[in-house]
Amino acid sequence: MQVFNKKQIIILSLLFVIVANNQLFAQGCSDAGFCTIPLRPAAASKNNIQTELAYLRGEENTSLATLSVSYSRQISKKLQWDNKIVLAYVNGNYGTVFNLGDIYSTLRYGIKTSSGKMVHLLGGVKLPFNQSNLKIRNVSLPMVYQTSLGTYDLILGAAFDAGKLDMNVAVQLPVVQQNRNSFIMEQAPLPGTFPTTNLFRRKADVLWRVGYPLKSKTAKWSFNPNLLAIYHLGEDSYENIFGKRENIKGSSGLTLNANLQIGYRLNQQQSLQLSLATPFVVRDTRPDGLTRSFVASVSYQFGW
Amino acid sequence: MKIYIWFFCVAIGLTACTKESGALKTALQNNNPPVTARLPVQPALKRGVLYPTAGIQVMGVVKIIQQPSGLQVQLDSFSVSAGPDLKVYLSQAATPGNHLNLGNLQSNTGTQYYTIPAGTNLSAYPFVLIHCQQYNHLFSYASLQ
Repeated sequence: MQVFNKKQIIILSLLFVIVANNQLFAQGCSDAGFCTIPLRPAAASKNNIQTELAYLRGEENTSLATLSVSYSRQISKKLQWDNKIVLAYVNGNYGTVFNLGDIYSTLRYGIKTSSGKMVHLLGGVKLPFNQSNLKIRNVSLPMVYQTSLGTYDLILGAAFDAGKLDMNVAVQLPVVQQNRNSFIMEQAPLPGTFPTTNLFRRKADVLWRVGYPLKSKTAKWSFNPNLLAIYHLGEDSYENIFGKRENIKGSSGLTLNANLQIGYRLNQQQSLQLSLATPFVVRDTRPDGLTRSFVASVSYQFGW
Repeated sequence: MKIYIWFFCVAIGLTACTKESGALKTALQNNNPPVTARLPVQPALKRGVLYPTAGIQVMGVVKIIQQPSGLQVQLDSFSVSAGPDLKVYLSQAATPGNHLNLGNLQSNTGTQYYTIPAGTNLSAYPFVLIHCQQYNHLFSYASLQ
């Protein structure tokens, strides 16, 4: 990790602000969950608890707030077990939804390569708390109002250094599709552009994050500007009103996000992190409701 | 630690909720005016009696009626057991598969109407189904005569 100077911070911050200002009304940050799973050990403590509060801006006047609680345990020098549970509050033209989202459970294993560098491998699952068919007064809601994708996913990833860069790669693969969403655009009581997602079926995503981590001389502050690319590996599909499955054109492809993470270590046990993200390359159609024009989160971590 | 996590889950599970917006409330009132305010009773083009599947209670009659706005399915003197995600289908058979989804069941009781999309070949759909889509369970069927 590089030691930063004020000039670097100012330049990187300005770059992020420019991107954010130009793209704040863009759509895209399509994180199915694995974006926020740390691929590297977050702290040296044997046990860690982290709480994160995030604000996300979605499509058509929707705004989301999520609260997540994570617990990680260092099982051995090389092996760490992470668990995360997410609670979501969604507000928009249809009303408000408040419910549990998903639970994540992952194992992270660190190995040393022949060149002496560490590579962290990750494997885990995402389990849904509902079938993505939450309704308001018996009205079926678009995916953006759903607190879960309704899929049982396999998550695999790796983190390693490439020179001064921090590289992360991961894949999120829906294994069991339990999505029972029943939103049909033609039958929606409110006008809008949310596509039909009746019995929605989602394809896999791959993630590639490139960061340039910096830290202050005292290591109190850390600063990680990064680019986050998510590629959706195929077209999602839904069942139309005739009971026939149709692909959603434009739902595959690349989303590219700028992300800035600022960390502050309070002491050996506690730390804070601020994360800001916005997309600047997006998919043509984003039926899964993961569309975010802006994401900001604050997290607190305690280790013992 | 496990106790705290379970406590968190149970607490959140108990507090999960939804609330409609003013816009949705208004839209629902406009889309579903009180039955008493509807047009005079129309003669049925087709009709059928609803029958239950195992473990389900249902009663009522299905009618296909012509309204000025187009064809509609009318559920008359209707009641059915509660279900989590009940839909009304026009169907080519007494089981779902080749069907036309007319939308969410509006209520478990009372007379209600469902618009049939313009251009639908009614003779291709001789059945009306009440089907739980979320758990893929057929609740009721009626053969239209």
